[in-house]
Amino acid sequence: MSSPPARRTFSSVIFLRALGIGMIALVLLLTFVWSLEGITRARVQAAMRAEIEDQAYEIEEIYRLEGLGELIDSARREGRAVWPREWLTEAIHEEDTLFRLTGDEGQTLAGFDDLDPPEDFATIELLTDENEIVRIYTLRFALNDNADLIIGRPMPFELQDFRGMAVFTSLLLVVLVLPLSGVIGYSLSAQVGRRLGELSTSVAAVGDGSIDQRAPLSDRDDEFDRVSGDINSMLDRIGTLTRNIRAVSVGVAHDLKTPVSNVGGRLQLIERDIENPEAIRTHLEKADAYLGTLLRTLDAILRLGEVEAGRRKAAFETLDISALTEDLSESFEPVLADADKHLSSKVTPHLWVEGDRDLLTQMITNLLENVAEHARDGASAWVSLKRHERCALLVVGDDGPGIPETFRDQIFDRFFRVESSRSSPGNGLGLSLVRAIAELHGGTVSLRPDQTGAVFEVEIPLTGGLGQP
Amino acid sequence: MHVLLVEDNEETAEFICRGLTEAGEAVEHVKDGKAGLVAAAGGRFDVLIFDRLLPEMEGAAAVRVLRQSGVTTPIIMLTALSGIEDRVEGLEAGADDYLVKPFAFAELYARLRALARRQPMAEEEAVRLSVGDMILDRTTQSVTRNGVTLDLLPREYKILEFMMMHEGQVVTRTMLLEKIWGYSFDPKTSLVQTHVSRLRSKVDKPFDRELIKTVRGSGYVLSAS
Repeated sequence: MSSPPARRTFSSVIFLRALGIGMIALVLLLTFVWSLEGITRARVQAAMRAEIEDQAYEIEEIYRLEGLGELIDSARREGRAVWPREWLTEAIHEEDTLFRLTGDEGQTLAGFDDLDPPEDFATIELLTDENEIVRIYTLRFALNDNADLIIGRPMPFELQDFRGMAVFTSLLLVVLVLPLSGVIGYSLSAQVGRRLGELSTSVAAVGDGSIDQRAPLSDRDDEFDRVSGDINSMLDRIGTLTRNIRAVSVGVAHDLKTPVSNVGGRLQLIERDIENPEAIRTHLEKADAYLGTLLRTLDAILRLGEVEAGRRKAAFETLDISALTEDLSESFEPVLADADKHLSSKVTPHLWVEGDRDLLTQMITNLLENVAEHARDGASAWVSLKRHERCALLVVGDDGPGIPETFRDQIFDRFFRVESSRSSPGNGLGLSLVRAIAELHGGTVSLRPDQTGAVFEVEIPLTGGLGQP
Repeated sequence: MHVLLVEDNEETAEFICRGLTEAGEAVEHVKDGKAGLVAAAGGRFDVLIFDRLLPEMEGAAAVRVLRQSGVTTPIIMLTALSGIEDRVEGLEAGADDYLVKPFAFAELYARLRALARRQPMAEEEAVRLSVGDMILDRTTQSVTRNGVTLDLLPREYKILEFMMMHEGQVVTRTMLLEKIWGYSFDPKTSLVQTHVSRLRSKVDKPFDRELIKTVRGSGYVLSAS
């Protein structure tokens, strides 16, 4: 059971990650805002304290030179030494220094009565007559045993607002960042989910059997298109393989059916010629030959399977491929001569490879039999073996008629026959086995291009790259 | 020739028993590996035929036990498994020969006779083999017939040597492929026929009496008579 799309979107990795990143961003931003606020506050406080201390020093100078009475007189404005609260607003607006001089019983001798900090250095809040709250830095110190001086500086309005701004910004961040990351996460996740959904739908369709279905491609050439492209090339390859298997199955069926129906035909002839022992003998021999063809095809299929499974690799030995090649070309020289083909050989002696004697024998035999079957009458054929870089290069060729260029790529495919009528003997497995055996030995086989005849080249790595045991 | 056949497949067993009986040989048939082991250990047989896949005890295992208990009777193993490894396993277990199903009765019979009549010490190590007026000298690797030296290629010499060792017995095409060429598969072309026919043109053609005769549908016989 799959969950509904929205729930899947919420539980998607992308959504959860976006939310997580949002949280982290929020924490970082809040830390930043409050650090900024804290640093600014500390610096402003330090600056004001220095300013206040300067002024306190000046006032102390006046007191020391002129005495307390003169100090009080110098504070007198409009005849009043103790200033009324109404003046506070004005003083603050003009960023004047606020002060208060207290007597031995705490009574105000001069300045603002309201300036009454609880500690020597403090921030107090005053309510002006205009109902504004003003934050004021204050410093209290003793002029002498009986009189204390309190100096105050109103906090600059910008700084007064700063904390409020920090609070406001924090709230804004909390309100904006989390929902925003949620929304971004959701939309990303939904978008990715949609593209992945399309992909998964088409892959599922292929899984259900419609092998021609392909993943959708947009023209954006983004990462999804790349994945879709990769999946599509994979599906193309699988499609080709499937068609090959189909072709192979048809090939197997055809190659097995022909000899079986020939045997059937001979059985009918035996019934017809039941009174004629000589004719029956001929039919039996023919039927036996057809069964031989059938068994050879089955053996080749089994052998091909055995080679491709790679199990034979465990039985590899170091062997002299020169001797093997020489031996086989000697064996086949008369066979080819009987088929009106002239075989010559040129073999570099003592090249050693790691391999399976049985399989290499079969590989060379198949190539030579290919010549026997397909070269024209009177053709010259040759076998050569020599060193080529770190490989033994075996060439088996003839001078005609060769293989049409259009079939070059197909001749090593199983059951491929140039004569599609399949009228001539052969099962289309000989060259497939050659390739499988060459590949099992870490080598390659190819058809040399632009030749008058069919010239096959097989490269098998030499023992230790040198060809010496 | 007294043959023990250990084979569980009825069809194959009937085919072999009938062939052997008609050829005038005595055959005893058992259907599983253990029974085969017990019968073979009795030692009254000239040759043993073991199927590879048997109930109760696998053919190769039975053969291994027989060999370990000192039974030297020649053994031919039959199998539906045609892989090279299967062949190697069968021979390593101690079988003397290995035949892949399906096979012609003539093929099996030729191999049975070759095995049953084998005289290892005398034939395989003799310096000189002779059949009628033909003499093969192993030290010089030369062959003369009626005093005339035959000019044989190395492979022709080997084929002739093999045939002379099995004088009077049918030597099949597959036996030659296996023993002379070491092939474990059946080539499409007439490799054996071509070489034997060349050999015959040297061995028989110049002389008035044929030593090598074709046995229709199975192989060749070399004999003086």
